Amino acid sequence: MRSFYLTVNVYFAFVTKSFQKRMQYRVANLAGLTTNFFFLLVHIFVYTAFYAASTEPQPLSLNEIITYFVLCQVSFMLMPFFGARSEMTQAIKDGSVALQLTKPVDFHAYWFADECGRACYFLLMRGLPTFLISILFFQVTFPQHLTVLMAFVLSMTLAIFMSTAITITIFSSAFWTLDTSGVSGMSGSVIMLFSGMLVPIALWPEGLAQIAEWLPFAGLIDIPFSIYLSKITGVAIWTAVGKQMMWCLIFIGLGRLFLRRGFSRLVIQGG
Amino acid sequence: MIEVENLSKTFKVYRHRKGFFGSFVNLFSRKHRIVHAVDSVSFSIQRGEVVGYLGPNGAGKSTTIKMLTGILVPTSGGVTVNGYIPHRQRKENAKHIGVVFGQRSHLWFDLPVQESFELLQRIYRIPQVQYNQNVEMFDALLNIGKFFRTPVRQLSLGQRMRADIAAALLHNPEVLFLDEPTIGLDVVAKARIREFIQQINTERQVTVVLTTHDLDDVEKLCKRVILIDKARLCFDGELVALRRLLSTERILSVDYAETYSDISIPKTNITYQEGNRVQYRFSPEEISTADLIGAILQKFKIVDISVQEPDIEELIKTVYEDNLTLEQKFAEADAIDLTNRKSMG
Amino acid sequence: MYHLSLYLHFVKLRIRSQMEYRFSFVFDLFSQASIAVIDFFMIALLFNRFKELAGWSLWEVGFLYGMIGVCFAVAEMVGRGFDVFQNSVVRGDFDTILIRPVGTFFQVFSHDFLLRRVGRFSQAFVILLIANSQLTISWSFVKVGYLLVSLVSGTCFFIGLFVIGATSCFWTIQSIEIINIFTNGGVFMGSYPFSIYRHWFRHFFTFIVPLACVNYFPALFLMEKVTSSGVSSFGVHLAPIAGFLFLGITMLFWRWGVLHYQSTGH
Repeated sequence: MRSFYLTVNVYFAFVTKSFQKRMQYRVANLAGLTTNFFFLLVHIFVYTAFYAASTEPQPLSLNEIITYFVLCQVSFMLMPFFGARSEMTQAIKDGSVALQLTKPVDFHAYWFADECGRACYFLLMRGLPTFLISILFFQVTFPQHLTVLMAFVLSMTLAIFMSTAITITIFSSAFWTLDTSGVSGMSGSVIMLFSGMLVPIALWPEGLAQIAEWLPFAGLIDIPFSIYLSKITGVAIWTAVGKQMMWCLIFIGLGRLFLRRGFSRLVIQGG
Repeated sequence: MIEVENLSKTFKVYRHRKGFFGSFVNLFSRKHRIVHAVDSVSFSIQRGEVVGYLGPNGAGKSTTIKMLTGILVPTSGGVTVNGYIPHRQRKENAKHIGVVFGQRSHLWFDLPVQESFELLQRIYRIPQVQYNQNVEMFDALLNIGKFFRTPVRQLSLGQRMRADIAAALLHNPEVLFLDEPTIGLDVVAKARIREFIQQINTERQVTVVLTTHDLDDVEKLCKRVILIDKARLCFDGELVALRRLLSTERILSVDYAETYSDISIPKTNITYQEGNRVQYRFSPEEISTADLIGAILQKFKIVDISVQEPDIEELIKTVYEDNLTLEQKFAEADAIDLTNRKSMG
Repeated sequence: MYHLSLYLHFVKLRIRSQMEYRFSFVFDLFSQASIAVIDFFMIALLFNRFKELAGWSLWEVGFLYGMIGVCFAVAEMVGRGFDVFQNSVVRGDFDTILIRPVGTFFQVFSHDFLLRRVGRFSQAFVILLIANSQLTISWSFVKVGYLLVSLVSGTCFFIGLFVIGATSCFWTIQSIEIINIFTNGGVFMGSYPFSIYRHWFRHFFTFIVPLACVNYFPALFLMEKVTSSGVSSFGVHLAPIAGFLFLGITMLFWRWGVLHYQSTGH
C-alpha cells in the first residue's frame, strides 16, 4: 500500500511540474484566450444566422448550440488536435529519450502525467476564464440536476484521459518518422471532424452520424457535452461512459505497445 | 578607414514586475533604468591595420562592433567606416565590410557551402572571375573544398568557422570585423585561422578589427590593441607599449653551470629554484636588465639566461582588476614623456 | 531586375531542398489538402441541414471559401519567411540580415518558400471552379480582371498580416499567437458572408483589418449582389485596393520595427 502511495506521489509530482512549466507563458495564454473567444464569436454568428433562416425544429436549440460551442472552446486545448507537444517528440527524434530508460519510472505513465499537467493548466488558465466570461456575454445553459453535473464531470475526465492516450499514440510515431507534423495534422483533422468539434453530431445526416457513433472520437467532445445538455440521460449515460472507458483502455494499450516497439527500435539502432 | 568619435550607446533595461497581475501591468507601463553599453569612445584605425578590440564580458565590445557594422544605431557620437556612416548607409557600408560572428553562422543553415557562396555572389554582385579566384585562394589556404558540398548544419565548428570567414571575404571587403573568431576551436584550427587572417591582411591590405577572449589571437595577430572596460576606453596603443606600461616586474631565468651556495642578488627576489635553475623577479625601475645580467655574470658561471616578458593575459587581468592604477600609470607615463621631451628640447 | 533574379534563385533553392524529403513532402501535401477538404465538408454539412445562410446558397458560400482559400494558400507559400521570423529573432539571426547589402524586408521575404501549400491552394482553387460552374456568373473582361486583382490583393493582405506578426517579434514573441486570429481566424470567418456578423465586428474587419475586401466585396460585385446587400457600390469597386494598401502600411510598420531593433538591440 505504501509503495503504491509513493508511486502515485511520483507521478503526481510530474503533473505539478508540467503545470508549473507552463505558468511562465502568461502573455501567450492571454493571446490564446483571445483566439478562443474570436472563434467562439464567429461560430455563434454563423449558427445564429443559420437558425434565423430555418423554420424547421432542430435537434438542438440555438441556446444549446451556443453552450455546446462554449464548452468546445473551454476544452479545445485539452484535445488531441494540433497541440505542439514538441518537447517529447523532440526528445524522441534526437534520441535523448533513451535517457528516460535509465530512470526508474514507466515512460508511458510519465508522459501521461506530463500531459495531464498540461490539461490541468489549460483547464484552469484557459478553459475556466473562457467559461466564466462566456456566461456574462452569451446565453449559456446549465445542467438541471446535480447528477447530470456529476455525470458530466466523470465523462469529461474520461475525455481528457482519452485525449491524452490518443496524443501519446499519435506522437509516438516520432520514433519512425522524422516529421510528425504531417501525421498529427492529418489525424488531428479527422479526430476534430468525428469528435463533433466542428459541427455537433446531432446535426449530421443519419448515415454519417452512425459512423461517428462507431468511432472512438465522439468520446472526446460529443459524449460529455451531450451529457451536459441532457441529450444523453438515464441508463444511456452509463453506456456512453462505458464506451469512453473502453476506448481509453484501448488507446492506453496501443500507446504502450507503440512506445515499447519504438524503444526497442531505438535500442537496436543505438539511437 | 575607421573613425570613431565620442561614440556612446545607452540601453533601457526594463524591470519586470512579477506575478500574474504584474505581467499584465508590464504590458502597459514599465519602469526602466539606463545602462551605458559604450560611453564616449573615440579611436581611429588606418587602412591595413590589425587591431585587437579587447575587454571583459559585457564591456561593450560587441555593441561597438554592431555600431560599426550598421546593426545598431548609436545614441550619440560619430562613426564612419570607409567614409560611410554605417547606420545611415547600411547597405553601402555592407558592401565594403565583411563580418564574422563566432557564435553564429551567417551562412544558410540548410544549404551546402557552395550554394551559400553562390547566393552571396549574387547578393554582393561579385563578378565571376573574382569569385573563382577567391574560392580558389580560400580553398588553398583554408581547405574549404573538402566540405564545399556539405550542408552548413553538418559542418564541424572549425569547418563552419573557415567557411564563414571565407564567405565574409568573397566580395573583397576593405574591412573585416571578427567577433570571437576562434571561440571553441581546437589549437590546430585556431592556428590555421590566424595564419589566414594574417595572410589576407598582408596580401590584400584588409583592415581587421578583432574582438576576442583568446589572447593568443592578439599576440599572434595584433600590433595594436584597444582595451575597453565598463563601456569606456582604457587603453589604445601598441601591444608592446601596453606591455611596457604594465610590466613593472619581470622574471629572469638563469641556468647555472655549477651549484653555488649563495645565489642571492640585491634588489631581486628568488621566486623559483630547482637544481641549478633559478628564477629572479625584479623591477626594471630598481635595477635595469643589463645591470642585473652584468651582476650575475660577474659572480657566477652560467649555461643559459633569459628574460621573460609577463604574459599578456596577466597584464590585462591587472588592468581590469585595478583600473585606478592604470590611470595613475597613464598619468605617470605622460609625466615621464613630458620630462623627456623637455629635457630633449 | 536584381531583386527579381535574386528572389527566383532563392525560390529555386528552397524548392530543391524541400524536394529532398520527398515522402514527407507528398504526405504533407495530402494532409494539407485533406484538412481543407474536411473544412469545406463541414460547411456543406450545415447547408445540408439549413439550406441557406442569410440568402446565400452553398455554392455562393463556396465561392467565398475558394477565393479566401486561394489567397491564404499563396500568402503562406510566399510569405513563409515572415511566418517563421520569430525563430530567427530568438536565435539572433536578424543581425546577419543587417550586415548584408540588401533591404531587410526583401531578405526576410525571400528567406523561405513553402511549396507544400500547393495542396491547400489546389483544394481551394477546385472549390472555386466548382462554385463557378454551379453559379451563373456572367463573366466579362472587367470581371475577370477584377477577380485577378482581388486575388493578388487578398494575398497581399495576408502577407501583410504575417509582416505584422513578424514585426511584433522585435518587441515580444509571446504575443505572436494573436495574429492567428486574423490569419486562420480570418480564413474561417471570411468563409461566410459578412452580413451575418454584427455591425461592430463587420466594421472592424472592413476598415481596420480589411478582411471583407479580400473576398466578400469582390464576390458581391462578381455575383451582382451589390444592390441587394446594401453595401456602397463605390466601396465595392475600391475593395481590391485595400490589400495593397494594407501591405504598404505593414511595410512601414516593419521599417519602424527594424529601427526599434537597431536602437535597442533586442
